[in-house]
Amino acid sequence: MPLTLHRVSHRYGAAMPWVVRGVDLEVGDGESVALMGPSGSGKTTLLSILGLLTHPTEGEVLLDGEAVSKSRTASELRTTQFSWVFQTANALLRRTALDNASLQLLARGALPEAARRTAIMELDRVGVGHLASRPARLLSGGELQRVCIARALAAAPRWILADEPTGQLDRATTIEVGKALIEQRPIGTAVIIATHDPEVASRCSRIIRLIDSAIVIENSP
Amino acid sequence: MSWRVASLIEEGLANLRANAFRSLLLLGICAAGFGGLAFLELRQGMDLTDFARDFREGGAYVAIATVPGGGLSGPRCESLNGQPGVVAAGAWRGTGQSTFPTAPGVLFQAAEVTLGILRVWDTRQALGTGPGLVIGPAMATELGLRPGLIAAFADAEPVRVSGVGDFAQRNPQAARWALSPVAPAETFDECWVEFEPGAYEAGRDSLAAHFAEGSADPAVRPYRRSDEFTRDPAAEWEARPQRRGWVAVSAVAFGFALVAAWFRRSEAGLYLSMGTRRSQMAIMGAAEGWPLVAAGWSLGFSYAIAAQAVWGSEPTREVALHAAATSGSAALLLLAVFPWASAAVARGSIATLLKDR
Repeated sequence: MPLTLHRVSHRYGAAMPWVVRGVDLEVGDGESVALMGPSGSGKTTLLSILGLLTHPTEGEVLLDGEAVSKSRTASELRTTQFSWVFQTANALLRRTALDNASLQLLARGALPEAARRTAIMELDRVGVGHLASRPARLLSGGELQRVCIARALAAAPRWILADEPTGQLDRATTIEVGKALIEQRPIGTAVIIATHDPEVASRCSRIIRLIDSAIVIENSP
Repeated sequence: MSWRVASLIEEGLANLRANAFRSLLLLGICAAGFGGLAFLELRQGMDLTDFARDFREGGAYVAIATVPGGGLSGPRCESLNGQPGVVAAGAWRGTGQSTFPTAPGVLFQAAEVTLGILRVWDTRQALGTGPGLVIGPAMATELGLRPGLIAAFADAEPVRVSGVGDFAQRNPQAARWALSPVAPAETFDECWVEFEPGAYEAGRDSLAAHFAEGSADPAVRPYRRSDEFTRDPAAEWEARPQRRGWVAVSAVAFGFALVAAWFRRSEAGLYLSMGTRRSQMAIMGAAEGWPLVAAGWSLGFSYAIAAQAVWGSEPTREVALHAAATSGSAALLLLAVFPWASAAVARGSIATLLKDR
């Protein structure tokens, strides 16, 4: 399997409790996976480990069979393989929606003009193309989250990791954002979403449930 | 596949433009820091320059060699001219008191001088070196003399007045003297020597030895005596507190840059989550910070020059260069460290940075 967690455990300090315990997980190309579980069950940490933002305390992250979690190429892999959508819609708030949507492409070495063209297409695709020139701080939570989704989609990454992307949105916006993220992703791109929302999870091909920092159930919706 | 350098620069400039308040705040801090430092340098530099000029004109670096009862070698005195560290040297001898027919009963001191002493006594250095009588200003006023007129001592041949000296700083009593330039032959009463400031002490100390050959028991005294309260402009300049201020100013400005970066940790986390390396963030930081530092220095230095010109004296080129070098050093140091502000605060887990607000 392309992205594999092998007996991964993690805690934030030697005296701290384990937030992820002995997790084995495999995610294939093009899959859509929902990580569900109560708050504090380790969803965000597991996602951070999958996206190479956090080194696991124990165990290994394998990409196409190669251990990468402590690799020197982790930052390069973050650029070329992963895109993120965060719960708090992390964005450059004083920059325009278009600037934000172009960001990941620029980080991949795209020419600015080409990055902007692609970003505009993605903003249109997620329904906020008309807001391209507006500063991100003036957008609503749902609009900003869709800008972040456009940023993630524009780069056509191999993996999109989304950490409760609809956590702060109303019902209607949650459905729109969930659709944009899962159904409008490029072919071959896998999406892994940490979510509390059954509606969003039901759009994924696989649901993984975490309880007490460990995977307890894995099934199809 | 990673950021192009041009894109990183454009990204930094875009962040600079997008955060106008923060940019203006940092610009103001840079301008105030660099300008304040430059102003301190200009102010103290000009204060010391003015003082050093007055100090020098007041004869601070003049030494006088004498021989009890006269008999100081004139040629040896004049031979000091042209020596390293010597500004001018010259000798005089009194020839008694005289009267003028136009002012009967009024006594004037007559003296013979070598040309070098006119350069020591007259700080304007405006006296010519031609033949003729040089008179003090008080004498000129009392007798109505000016350069070009003919004057005659009682019982003497008339001579042309070649100049009116301004001896107020170096030898005020010569205001009523009539000086006849002569060749530096034979002996004189005193030899006055003005040294460069850096050569004064050594020159003064070696003066007695210089005259020991050809003169008996020469004594040397300073024209102005100094004590522990006498200001030393060179030492004051070396010990000025803002001399190392460029480190402090750049450290304080960098502190503000760190604070500004601290409030942008989530932005740093966002860039890092996309695989941006810290060295690339430094390039972005340079594009964002360098224009602020450069503009801040230009504004601050210009303001300092203008402020000094308005509230003090017009700075000399040398003092302005000192101020530029000191404040410029602060700017250069800040240029070197500013790009790393963001990378410096973006430590630890990227996931944690992303949660910071």
